[in-house]
Amino acid sequence: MNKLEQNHYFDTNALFKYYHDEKGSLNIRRLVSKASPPIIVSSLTMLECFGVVMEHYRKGKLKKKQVNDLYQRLDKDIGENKETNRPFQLVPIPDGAFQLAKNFRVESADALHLAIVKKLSLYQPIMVTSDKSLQKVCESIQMSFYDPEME
Amino acid sequence: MERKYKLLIADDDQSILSEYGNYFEKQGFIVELAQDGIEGLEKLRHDKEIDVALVDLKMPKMDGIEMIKEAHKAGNNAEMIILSHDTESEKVDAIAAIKVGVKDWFEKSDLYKPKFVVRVKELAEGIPLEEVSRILSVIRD
Repeated sequence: MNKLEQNHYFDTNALFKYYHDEKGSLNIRRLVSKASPPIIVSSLTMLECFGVVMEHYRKGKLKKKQVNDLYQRLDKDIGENKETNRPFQLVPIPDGAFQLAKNFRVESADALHLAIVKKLSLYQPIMVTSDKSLQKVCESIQMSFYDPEME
Repeated sequence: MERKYKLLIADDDQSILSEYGNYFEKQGFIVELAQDGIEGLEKLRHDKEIDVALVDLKMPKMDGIEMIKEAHKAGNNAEMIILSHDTESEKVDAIAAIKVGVKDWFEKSDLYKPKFVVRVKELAEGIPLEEVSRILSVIRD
């Protein structure tokens, strides 16, 4: 199967790279625009993303309007089913993901991302992450991954 | 995947539906049509992926302002644009439109003016990616 026809799962860092110009952004944006199915993000990806944004809002580094603009843009880009015309598809955390996450010896949120990808067996997504420790675990459990910072 | 925006056009005039529908399809939009306010509201209730709705001010059964008000109550976040003939709107309508969160107002004769489609695309997209990137630099840099 052509790589662009496969499903891809974005961890939080990969999602930020789509919206913010930084190392790997070009590859991420190319992937989002060329991949035929929408990119999968989970409730965990969104929760982490909102958590970081709100932390900066609480510290006064972001204004309320900026936060609203960010949320509004995310709302416009994320669909809720496979047939969405939006670039991202939101999936809930699958049953059993928390239980499975205990098996991975990485930081808890990363373990949960791995477990979510494992549990999304119907989609067989490629994990998109530039986190080296996450990539190491992917290798050890034969999970396909793509590092946007590599090329 | 190529981003396509979804547009709802609600109008009781069949010729407007057909002319606007064809025009926006050619502009790359996915177009949904509704022949009155009730049908428009139903579509907005069931399809949360409609990005922008072009809503006729005066429609039978349910007028445009009422339809928009109900759609927001139902949790739909689509951006709303009112369409009217140049003679039919009054100041009171404009105030009501602002109150229900209408983003813009065009006359039906504006269809082929470039600023119309630009505005629809602008509302469909939300803030541009460059602006999002600028905001996020506070977090990521």
